[in-house]
Amino acid sequence: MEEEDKDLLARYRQGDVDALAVLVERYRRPLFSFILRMTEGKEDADEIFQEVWVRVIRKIDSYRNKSFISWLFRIAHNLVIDRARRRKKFISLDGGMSQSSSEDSGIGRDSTLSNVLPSASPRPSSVIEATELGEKISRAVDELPAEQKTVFVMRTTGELRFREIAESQGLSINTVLARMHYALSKLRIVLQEDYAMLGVDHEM
Amino acid sequence: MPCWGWIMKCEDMEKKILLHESGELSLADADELVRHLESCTDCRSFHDDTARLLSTARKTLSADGPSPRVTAAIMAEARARVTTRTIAIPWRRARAFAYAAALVIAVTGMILFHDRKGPTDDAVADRPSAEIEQERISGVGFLLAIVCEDDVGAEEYVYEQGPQNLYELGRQLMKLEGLDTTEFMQEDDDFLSLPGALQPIGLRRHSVDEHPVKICV
Ligand SMILES: [Zn+2]
Repeated sequence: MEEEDKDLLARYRQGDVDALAVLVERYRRPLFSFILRMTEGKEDADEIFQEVWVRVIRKIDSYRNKSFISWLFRIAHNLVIDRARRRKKFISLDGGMSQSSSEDSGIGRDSTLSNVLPSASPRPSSVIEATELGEKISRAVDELPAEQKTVFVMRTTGELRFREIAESQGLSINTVLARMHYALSKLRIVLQEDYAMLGVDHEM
Repeated sequence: MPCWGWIMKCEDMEKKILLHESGELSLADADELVRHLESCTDCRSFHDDTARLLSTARKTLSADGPSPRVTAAIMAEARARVTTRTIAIPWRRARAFAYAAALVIAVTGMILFHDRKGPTDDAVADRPSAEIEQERISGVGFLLAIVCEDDVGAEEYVYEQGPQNLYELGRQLMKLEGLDTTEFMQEDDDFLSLPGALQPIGLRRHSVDEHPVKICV
């Protein structure tokens, strides 16, 4: 049976580096996929992925008994927002015309999730995305409002349960379910014509 | 024609379809769901579309993983941390000590600065009180920021320790600085508010992201 996250963390706390390696490997794809989808590109995603684990390593002694995956994705999500906010601030200092950011030091109304997170841009990340349907789904997900996109991407790429998403975001499970529901409704409309194709295995 | 009761039941079922897909539905609820799906075409089509959409989205959105050098760097950090922990003071205690030292130095500095009789006192007396007040306020914001390292650190701190500790620290520092704490209150579990004057440098709700606390200096 697979060793639980909390046991691996406990082993690492006692000095067993291999236990941490198991955790990093366990969340390598889900966590990286989440970050990549929420940020601007592979290079940014690499940096954020590394920073997430550095923070986990540094804070491991203060981590207590919450679901590890929720904590992990919470740190990742905070870093994604933080980076987008800084970038936006940098862009507006660098000759942008944004009025609010000059008086608001980049934190507040001007840096709502929807404003700071990157907007849709085609980023082939796997074989299927290179297909037409894959691109359509990818674009439709990028065009979702940020808080719906966050829940949708956590659920699909991160494989977090709704309870874990709620814990990670500090929301009620009903709010998370409602966001997922809105996201699905929008995607269903966008992908209406393609429903016949969905579910068919597009992998080569 | 479905009646309202039926529509409400369908809304409820759509939630259950999502929870079923994520493996979070109880057996009893799952039974109820299966029975409903047998008789409701709308929910059945929501169920089928959702299953297909999620399965395709998973394939579409999932990436391979970070560059190998990233994983190598993480493991190097992990090893370095274990080594320091075994041969030096535990890091957490060291950090706590550093914070305590920084606080003592900073607070002592402030107290000396305000209480000392001497040449600087005249300079202080000449300055408008609003300016001095602003300086004290900045001092409190600065100390809170040290404790939390940075914005993300502040959010993590509150998430892990609860907002109470940070709140209490802020209140004590304001008292030390002779600032009015009557407006400094905790409105609910994760909502800290400071008087208007502290807003730009203090704690405030980061409303849209739903992150409970923000610190900026
Ligand atoms: Zn129904």
